[in-house]
Amino acid sequence: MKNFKLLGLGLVALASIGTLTGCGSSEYDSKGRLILNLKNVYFDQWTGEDRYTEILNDKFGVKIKASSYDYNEWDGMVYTAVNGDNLPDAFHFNLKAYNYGSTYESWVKKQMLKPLPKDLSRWKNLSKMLSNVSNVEELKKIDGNLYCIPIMNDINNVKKDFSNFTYVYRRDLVKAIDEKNKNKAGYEPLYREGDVYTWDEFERMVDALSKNPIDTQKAVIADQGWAFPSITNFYKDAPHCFGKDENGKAINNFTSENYIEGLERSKYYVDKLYYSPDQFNYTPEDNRANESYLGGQSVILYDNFSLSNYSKFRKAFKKNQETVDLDDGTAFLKIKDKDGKFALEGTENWFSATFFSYATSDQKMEKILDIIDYLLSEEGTRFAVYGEEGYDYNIVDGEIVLSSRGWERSIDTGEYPPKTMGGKYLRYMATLGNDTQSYDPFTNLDDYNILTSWMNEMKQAKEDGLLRVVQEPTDISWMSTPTKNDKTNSLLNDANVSAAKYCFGKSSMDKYLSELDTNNWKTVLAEINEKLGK
Amino acid sequence: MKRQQIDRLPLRPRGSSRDRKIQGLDIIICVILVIYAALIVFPFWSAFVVSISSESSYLRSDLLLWPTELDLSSYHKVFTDNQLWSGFGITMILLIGGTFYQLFFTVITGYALSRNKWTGKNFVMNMIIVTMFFGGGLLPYYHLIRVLGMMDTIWVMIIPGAIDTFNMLLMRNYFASLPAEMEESAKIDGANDIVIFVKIFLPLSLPMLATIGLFFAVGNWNSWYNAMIFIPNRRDIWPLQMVLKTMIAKASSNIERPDVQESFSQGLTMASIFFTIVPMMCFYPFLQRFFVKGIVVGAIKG
Amino acid sequence: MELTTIAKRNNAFRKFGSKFLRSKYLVLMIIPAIVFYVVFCYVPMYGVIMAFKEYSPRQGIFGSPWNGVENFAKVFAEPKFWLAFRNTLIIGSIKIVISFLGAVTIAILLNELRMIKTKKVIQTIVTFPHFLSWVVVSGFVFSLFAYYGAVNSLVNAMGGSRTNFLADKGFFFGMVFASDIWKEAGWGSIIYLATMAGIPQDQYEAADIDGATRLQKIWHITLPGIKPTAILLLIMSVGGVLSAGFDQILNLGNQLIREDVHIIDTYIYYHAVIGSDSAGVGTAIGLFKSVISFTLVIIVDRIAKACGERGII
Repeated sequence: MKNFKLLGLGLVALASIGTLTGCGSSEYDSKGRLILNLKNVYFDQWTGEDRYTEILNDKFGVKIKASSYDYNEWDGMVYTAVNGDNLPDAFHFNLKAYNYGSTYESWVKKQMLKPLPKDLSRWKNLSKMLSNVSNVEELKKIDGNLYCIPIMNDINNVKKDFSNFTYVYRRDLVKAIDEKNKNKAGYEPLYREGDVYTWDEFERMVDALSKNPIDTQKAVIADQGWAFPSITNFYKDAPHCFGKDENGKAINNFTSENYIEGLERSKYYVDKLYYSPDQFNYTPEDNRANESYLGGQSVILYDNFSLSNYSKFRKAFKKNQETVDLDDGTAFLKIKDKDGKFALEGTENWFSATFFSYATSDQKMEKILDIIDYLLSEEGTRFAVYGEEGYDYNIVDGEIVLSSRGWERSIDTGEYPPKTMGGKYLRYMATLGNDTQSYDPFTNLDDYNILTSWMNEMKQAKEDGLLRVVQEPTDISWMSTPTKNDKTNSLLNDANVSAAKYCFGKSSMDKYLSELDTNNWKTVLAEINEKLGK
Repeated sequence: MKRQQIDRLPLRPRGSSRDRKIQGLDIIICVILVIYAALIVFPFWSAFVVSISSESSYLRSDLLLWPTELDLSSYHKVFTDNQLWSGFGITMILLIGGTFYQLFFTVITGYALSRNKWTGKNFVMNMIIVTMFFGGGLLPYYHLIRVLGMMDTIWVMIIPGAIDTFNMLLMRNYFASLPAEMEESAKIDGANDIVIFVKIFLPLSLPMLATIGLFFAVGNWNSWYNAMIFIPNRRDIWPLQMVLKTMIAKASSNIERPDVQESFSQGLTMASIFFTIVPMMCFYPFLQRFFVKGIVVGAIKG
Repeated sequence: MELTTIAKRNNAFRKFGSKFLRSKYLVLMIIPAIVFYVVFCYVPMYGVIMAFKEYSPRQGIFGSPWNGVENFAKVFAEPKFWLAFRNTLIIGSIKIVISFLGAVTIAILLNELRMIKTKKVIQTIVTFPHFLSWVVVSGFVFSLFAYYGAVNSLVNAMGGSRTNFLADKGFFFGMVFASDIWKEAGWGSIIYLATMAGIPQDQYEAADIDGATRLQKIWHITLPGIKPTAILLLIMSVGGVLSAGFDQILNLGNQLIREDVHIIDTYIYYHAVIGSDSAGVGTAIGLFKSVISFTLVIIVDRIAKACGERGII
């Protein structure tokens, strides 16, 4: 009997909690507002609700329900939602032509997506942005409709087509080696003003760093897991699977002469222990290379140095290497290849996109586009960055003045304490917001200035013809063929693994070449060349 | 007599080791076992040291056998994370409510199947065994959950767990091992099945109930898969393990993400791991007796 | 004549009816189970037809077009699948043997241990890892066997050179078995220990009189005593050989060796569940796996029965 009583209590408790936490779903909330379900990877620093979201709710007469994807589960969660027919109204996916173009096409063909309206004149800011997105015409090629909003990195910086994947290095250590040896006869200093090194100078510096390690140092270079082997950038003609030979015929980039040369050089670096042996284990998801540099185990780091990453990196460096000058420890390393040009991996001016589920009603889509358009406008951008006019900031004589109520610097750090800015997160549905970095109160101006000067230097080099942007041929990138759509992603992953195995001595050149000459490779290249007419 | 022997593991030496003198072989066996136990303990210790170390000391040294620089900020981050406490609350609900729910249904099913000669028993038994081998796969199950309206609700973590086939079979074996005379004499006295179950068998099987209940409890404490697949949108009802998984992923990923604060990912990972296993570590030594008894009787008597 | 038949039939019904009435409470107790299994196990079984369809989410399971055995053809043509299948069989069967050996060894050692307090402590310690999730255990493995981790540092300090364990396929397989023992041997030994406790003491006394050594006693008395239990557990685990530990393989793997060390379940997971392979392909593999598992269990059960042991079916 006692057991039954306990059981009964348990079931009642369960039922009451269940009714509290599990509600049914409907289009409108209790206040009669239209519910918008939005998911985006960048929403994860936010609970999805704050006073700024409420302001937008009131302004547009909706109830925004935002939640995020975890980066590591992102692909899986989106595929599960697609297959399970359980997509939110607007969702985020990291579409890039070279690895997910086929996914985009298959979703369109399976009618899982709702296209944007053909006439976007109602949303002026959005139209303007879309007209600056690179390759947006390719996205329309399936049936003339646009099925996503590519999230532009920087709506003001249209022409930047090179990535921020580059090196930082320990300038202080190079200078220290020079200092130690300066009195030796005939000693040629390693350090170069402005951190610009020719290829030979770079190799000489790497060798010297290897021979003069600091106590925590285990190797010289660390590449993020997704980037190894990074020095192939200075040799290869294309970044991923496909390149073209001098006749315009599609070839396997991983077996091209230039790539192989770069691969051999990378293997040489591994053999000379310029790379640490556990570089082989660094996966694309983890942060091992970063940790290695921060711990003084490596002294050159290759990573994606967007402003947010660079800021985060500098903060962590300051914390972990207090005795090292911050600017010296996180200096950008600019290397010229044997032809005297810088080399950077190319990129489109967007990385991921916002998609709409087929089930999203016209009314909902219009509301979402309204919100996005607003956040792209001047007033909306101010809202995203500063907050509410009158509460967080005021415009005095045409100038923005931050109020102490919304913005008060912390006494310890001198920076503004973190707070959630709902408008800013929602703006990530259309742009990464790099355009607001220069005046965003959260931006650390030192970080911003250093990064911007690096970017400007690269831009100038590009204009002077001194920057080689390693780019995949666009016609191949966006080409759709059955096997290419199906297999490109796995071909790319497998090729990177094969390259790493070769460099770390787990494979021979013959084996490497055979792994890159499978039936899948042959079929894909044949299909591409047929379409190219070669 | 025989049952008593199995109630607890032998404390006095049984079997071949009954000799009075402590031989060399005994010492060797003891040493081997102690080394094995040390190998079990070592990873826990190592992880604990990382969780209380500072990031710089972790990054600089290879072998952290002892924290060189104490830094409890990893634990601070774990304990001040609101999501974590909400996850803890949800897991508590699952633990208490869910365990009773599962226990109830599993036990009555086990009991019913332990009785002989009633209509349909073999049919049901075969029906259940088939499900141990064949299933529809994730997708139809996903559809089912949607149709039942359990998507994004707390129910999806509770209701489908009603009966665990393996544990149900353990219960069945246990009930079947109890002397049949009790049931027969009760039936002669005119009692019906439910009364027999509640008044006779249930009190006798409290240890077993506790064991199975504990199995369910541990399962509920560790559960995250259902939340990951079926509760994509409502973070407020995520259980503890799911919250931890995302905390760890957030700390270690490196894509271009605006507004991310720095954190010591390995330290956070280890601190989170300890947050989840310490409760188990505390209760386990006391509850170990029950587990042992339960497994023993359930499995070998079957 | 007819009357007797009708009478017999009515009799049968009556017998059935009264039997049913007698067991009505038991039937009542079993109804929740029937509902549960039908709803959550049998209803989703219709999903098996997806293996023969070209699945499109909008058309759902019933609306998607049939494509015969095309999904199967696609899967069987992929060499990676056969690698996964082979891995599964190898890992699964070795695991059965190794986990048996591990559990029995620990059981024998614990059984022979004479220091009581130590025994209790050790038993508590070695059975605990069973309750950890593989997420946690793999976290331990990664941290200990990293290139600059504890194990390598120890080896290095003793004069050896570091090895990149985590990148090695062979090490991975070894670690699958070693971590399985680390996690489960203690727990698995419980059953054997209890069985050993049930072996009549007089058998040992008789062996003493014959002058047997301890090792001989273990070999000739203890081990045969646990044979029935071992066979039973063996049959039960054969059904799971094709599962071979999805959770473990998923968590212990890493990007570099992942494609080399797939088992069937991780192959399905990475390619069909979170990957872009169609759901029909994933279901086809699952169906293939279920059929083979079931067949294996039946075969082993028959073999065991033929050898004189009791089966489970």
